[in-house]
Amino acid sequence: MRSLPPGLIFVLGFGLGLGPARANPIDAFGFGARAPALGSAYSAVADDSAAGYYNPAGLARSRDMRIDLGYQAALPQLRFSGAVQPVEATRGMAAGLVVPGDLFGVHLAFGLTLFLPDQHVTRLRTLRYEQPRLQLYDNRTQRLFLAANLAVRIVKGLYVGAGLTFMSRTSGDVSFQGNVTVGDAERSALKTAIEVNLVAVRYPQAGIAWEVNEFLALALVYRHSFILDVDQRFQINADLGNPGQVPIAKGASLVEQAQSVDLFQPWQVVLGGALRWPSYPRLLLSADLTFARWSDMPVPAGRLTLMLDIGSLNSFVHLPPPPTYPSPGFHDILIPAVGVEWRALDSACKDRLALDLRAGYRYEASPVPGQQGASTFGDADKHTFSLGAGVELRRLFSVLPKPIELDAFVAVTYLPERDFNKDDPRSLVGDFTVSGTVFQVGGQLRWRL
Amino acid sequence: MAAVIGARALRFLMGGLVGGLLSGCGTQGMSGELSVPFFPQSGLGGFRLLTSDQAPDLNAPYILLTPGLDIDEPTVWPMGDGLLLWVSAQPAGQPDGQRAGAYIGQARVERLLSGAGDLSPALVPDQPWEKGALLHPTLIAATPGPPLLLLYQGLDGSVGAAPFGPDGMPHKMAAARLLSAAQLAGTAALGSVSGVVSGGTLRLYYLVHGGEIRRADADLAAVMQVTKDPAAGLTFTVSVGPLLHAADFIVPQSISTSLPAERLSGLSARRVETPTGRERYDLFLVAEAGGKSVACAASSYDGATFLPVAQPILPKGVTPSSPTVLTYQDRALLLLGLRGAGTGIAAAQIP
Repeated sequence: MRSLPPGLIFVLGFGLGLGPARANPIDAFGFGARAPALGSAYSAVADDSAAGYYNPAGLARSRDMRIDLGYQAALPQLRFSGAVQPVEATRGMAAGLVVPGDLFGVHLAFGLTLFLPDQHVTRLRTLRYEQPRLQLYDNRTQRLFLAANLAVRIVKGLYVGAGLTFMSRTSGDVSFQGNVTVGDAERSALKTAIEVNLVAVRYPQAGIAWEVNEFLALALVYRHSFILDVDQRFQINADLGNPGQVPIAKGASLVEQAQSVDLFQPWQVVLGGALRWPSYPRLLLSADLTFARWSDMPVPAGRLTLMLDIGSLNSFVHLPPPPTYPSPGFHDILIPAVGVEWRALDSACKDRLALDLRAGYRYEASPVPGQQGASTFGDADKHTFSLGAGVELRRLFSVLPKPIELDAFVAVTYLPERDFNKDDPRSLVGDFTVSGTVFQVGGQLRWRL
Repeated sequence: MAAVIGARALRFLMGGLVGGLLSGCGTQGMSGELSVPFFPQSGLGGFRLLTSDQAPDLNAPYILLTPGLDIDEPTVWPMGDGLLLWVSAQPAGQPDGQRAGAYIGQARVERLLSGAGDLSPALVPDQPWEKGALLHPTLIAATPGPPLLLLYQGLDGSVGAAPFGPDGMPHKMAAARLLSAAQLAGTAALGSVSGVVSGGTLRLYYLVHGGEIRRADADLAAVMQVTKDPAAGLTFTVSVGPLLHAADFIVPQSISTSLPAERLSGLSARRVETPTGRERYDLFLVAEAGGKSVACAASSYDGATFLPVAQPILPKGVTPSSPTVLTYQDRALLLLGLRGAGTGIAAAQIP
C-alpha cells in the first residue's frame, strides 16, 4: 500500500484538526481586482493572495513571496417597489500575503487573505420575522474576511490547500441579583453583572488545483457553511417581597433568552477550469461553476424565550411560548461564471511593461423563494458584468526587481425586477418588487518578492 | 546582495501593509447608524398619528383645524408634494348626530407637515333633496387619471355628484340627485357611501343599517352622462348580500378583551394597483363596540370578497372618524377626523 504524500498529510492534518466545522462566508463582490474582473471565475487561475478565498491550493503555485494590497468598493442602488433602499456601500482594503517555501522536500505556501471594511468589521442585526429586508445585501456584505491557508504541491502540477476563516459571534449575559420590593421599586436592591464575549468562530475551506498541462488547469474547491448567531441572556435572580419581611417568593427568577441567526452562508462546491489558448497563449479563458446549498438556510429571525419562576405564584402568570416560524424554503443554486484575459501588450517599453485586458460575467440566481406569506425576504437574480485591466511593470525599481502588477476593475451587478405577490390582501407589506444595480470598482497592487 | 535587497523590500512593503491595516482599524469604532429603509407597505395598518416632533409647525396631529367648525370626512387628491382636500364642515358644538347646515369645504395642503390652508366652501346645500346638509364627500377618479366626480350625500344619505369643471374644481350637477337612498338601501338607513373606478365601472361601497357593507356597480360612462343630462338612464347593480358585517370587525376593549363591532361608520374605499400590477380594493371605516371606537380596514383582490384586517389601523386611545388612506410621496398616509377640543382632520403615517 502506497503511503500518502507527506504534503497531503500535512494539509489534511491542518484542515481536519479544527474542531467544529464552520465555514468561510462568500464575498458577494469578489476579492482583489483581477478576480472580479474575470467575473470571479478564478478558482483555477488563482496563484496570488486571492487564492485564500477562491482556491487555497493556488497559494502553492507561486514560487515568489507575494504581497497584495488594494481597495475596493461596492455601491448598491437597490429598490423595494421602486424606492431606493439605504443599503450601505461595502468598501474596504483588500490585502494579502503569500509566503512560499520548502519544508522536508515539500513545496508549500502559507497565505493570509484579508478584506477589512472601513465601515463595519461586522454588523449584528436581529430582525422580526415579518420585517422586510433585502436578504442577501443587508448584513451579508458588512463584515470582515480573514482567512489563513496552507497549500502544498503534492506532485508536479497538483496542489492542495486548506485553511480557516475567522469570525466572531456575540454571546452575553446580563444578570441581576438581590431583592425586588413589591409595589415600591425604589426600595429594590439589585446587583448587576454583565458578561459579553466575542466568541471565535472558525470555518474551513479546501481546494485542489491541477495543472493538467501548460495550457489547462482544473480546480475543485469546497467552502463550508457558516452561521453567525447572536445569543443574549438577561436574568434576574431575586427574593420577591418587602425588605425585613418573609419574601413572597424566595429565589425567584426571570430569564429572557434572545437568539437569532445574524449571518448565514451556504456550503459551496466550486468546479473550475482555466484554459490558455494553445494556438494563441495570450488568451486565457476561465470558468467556475459553484453549487451553493442555500436550502440549509435557517429562519433569519429573532427568537425570544421567557422563563419565569416565582414559586407558588407561577400559576397566576402565563407566559406565551416562543413563536415558531416555517422554514424559509430557500433554493439551492448553481452559479456559473466566466472570464477572459487577453495580453494586449507583452513586452512594451523595452520589456518593462505588459498589459492585460479582462472581462467577465457571473450569474447568480436568487435562492429566495416567493414571499406569499408573512415573511418579506427580498431578492432577485443577479447578473454581474465586469471589465478590468492589469499592468505588469518589470524592473521598475532596483529595490523591487520582480514585476509589480497593478490591476483595476469595474463591474455592475444588475438585478432585474422581480415580483412578489402576497396571498393575503391584508398583508401590511403587500405585493412588492425588488430590483437594482450594484456598482463595483477596485484596484490592487501585487508585488512579488 | 539579492537577499539584502529582498529584506529591504519586505520591510518597505510590510511597513505599508501594516500602516494601511492600522489606518483601517482606526475607523472601526465608527459604527454607522442603523439605516431607515423605505420598506414596502400596503397601508392597511401600523399607522401612528403625526407628532409635534415630526411637525413642529402644526397642532399635531391635525393638519386642518378651524375654530368654530367641526371638520370631518376627508377625501383627498394628491398633487405632487401637496394635497387638495375636501371635507364636510359644520358649525361646532352641535349635538351628536345633528348635521344640519353641513357643507363641503375645500382646502389646499402645500406640504403635509405645514398643514392645510384656509378652508373655503366648495359645495353648499341648495337642493330640496339635500335636506339642508351636504355630507361625506368622496372623490371619484380614473386610475390613473384626473378627478372625475365629487360624490356627496344629503341628510338622508341620497347621493349627489359634482363633476370637475375645466377649472379643476367640482361643480354640482344641474338638477337632481344621482341616486336616492332608497335605490341603494331600500327602506333601510343608508350610511356613508364611497366609490372607486375599476375599468369602465363606478363601484360604490356603502353602509346599510350601520352594520352592513354593500356594493353597487354602474357603468361609468353612463354616470358621467347623467351628470350632464339628468334625463339619461342610469342603472346600478346592487350586490345581493352584504360584503361584510359589523361583527366581522373586532374592537379591543382592554389589553386582553375584545368585542365584535356593533356599528360601522365613516366608510371610505380605494382601489390601488400594487407594485406588481395587481388590483387591490381597500375599505377603511370606524367600528364601534362597548362605547369604544377604532379605525379598521378590510381588503380584497377582486373587490367582492373582503377580509377584515385583524388589528385596528391606529392604536387605541383616540376617537377616530372617517379614515381614508392614500399614497403620498410613495408612502401610505392616513387622514381622518379626530375629535379633540373640536373636530379636525388629523394625519398619520407608518413609522
